[in-house]
Amino acid sequence: MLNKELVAASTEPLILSLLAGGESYGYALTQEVKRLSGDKIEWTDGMLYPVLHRMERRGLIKSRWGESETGRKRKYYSLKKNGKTAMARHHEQWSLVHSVLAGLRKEQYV
Amino acid sequence: MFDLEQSLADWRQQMLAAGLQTPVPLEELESHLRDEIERQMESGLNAQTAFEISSRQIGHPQTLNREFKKSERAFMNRTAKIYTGIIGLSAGAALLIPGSIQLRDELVMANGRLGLWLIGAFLLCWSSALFQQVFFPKTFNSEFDEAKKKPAKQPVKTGAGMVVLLIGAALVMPAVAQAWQKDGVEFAALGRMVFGFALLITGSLLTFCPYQKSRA
Repeated sequence: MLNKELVAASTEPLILSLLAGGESYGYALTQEVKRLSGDKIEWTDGMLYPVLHRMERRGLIKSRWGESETGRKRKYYSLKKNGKTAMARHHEQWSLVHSVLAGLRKEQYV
Repeated sequence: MFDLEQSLADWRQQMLAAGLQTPVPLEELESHLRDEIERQMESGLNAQTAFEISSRQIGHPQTLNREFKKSERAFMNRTAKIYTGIIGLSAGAALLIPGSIQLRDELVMANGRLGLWLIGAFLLCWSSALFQQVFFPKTFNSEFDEAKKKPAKQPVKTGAGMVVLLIGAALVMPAVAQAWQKDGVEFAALGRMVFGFALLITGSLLTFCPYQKSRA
């Protein structure tokens, strides 16, 4: 299981990257993250929404009310231009950390 | 007999009681809860167990409400800052006008107008700083830039700040004396005074504000 700080720090980049694949809604986002991480990243379900609302207010994503397949009301989120820029920046930073860590680990085995 | 709709209504009541008053988050949370209950039931659980597990997973009402409040507060701060900035800019510009017109026409500025003029200039600087915080927040750019900067040594900074403060005071003094004695300030003295004030502000920032402030 991923530690709490890392889960919090990675929420925004993960949401942005998931939405880059197309419009989605809260529940689907949590399920997708769970699936992709092999159940290792688990968001406390309700906590995702304040984050989504904050990101919407910051102009990274936008939302609209729609209907689910069963006719229930559902709020869909999609990426805005600012969100794409923010995502690119997140990717750059996380890959930097990743490459440094990977480089250091390699050194230890040589 | 377990009634899912009744349990959902109770859950909504609990959320409202915790202070989650705005309808939007509640509807969204309920939609999430229903999705999760459906999934649990598809995997073979009965309605009651599915409801219990799902409502536990979605989080405690009070904790959720706190998080929503926090996200609203962050937004309110931003909006409030933008409005205050706009008011500050307009008020600052308005305060600058009487003094500037007199200065253009007569090459002097009466003390009363000078006072207003300085307050106006201060308001302008302050509102631009507000706008900078809103539109170009430091944290947003990159955490790594921050880590790259090395803090200057505090004693060196304090020394430099003191020197800047002294130069600023020296520049401001003649204009203040002129204002005191002649009931007005000449153009040249005013220029030096403004520059002096800028130096005073820079100097006090250097001297009294430590480099590493926590970034909220």
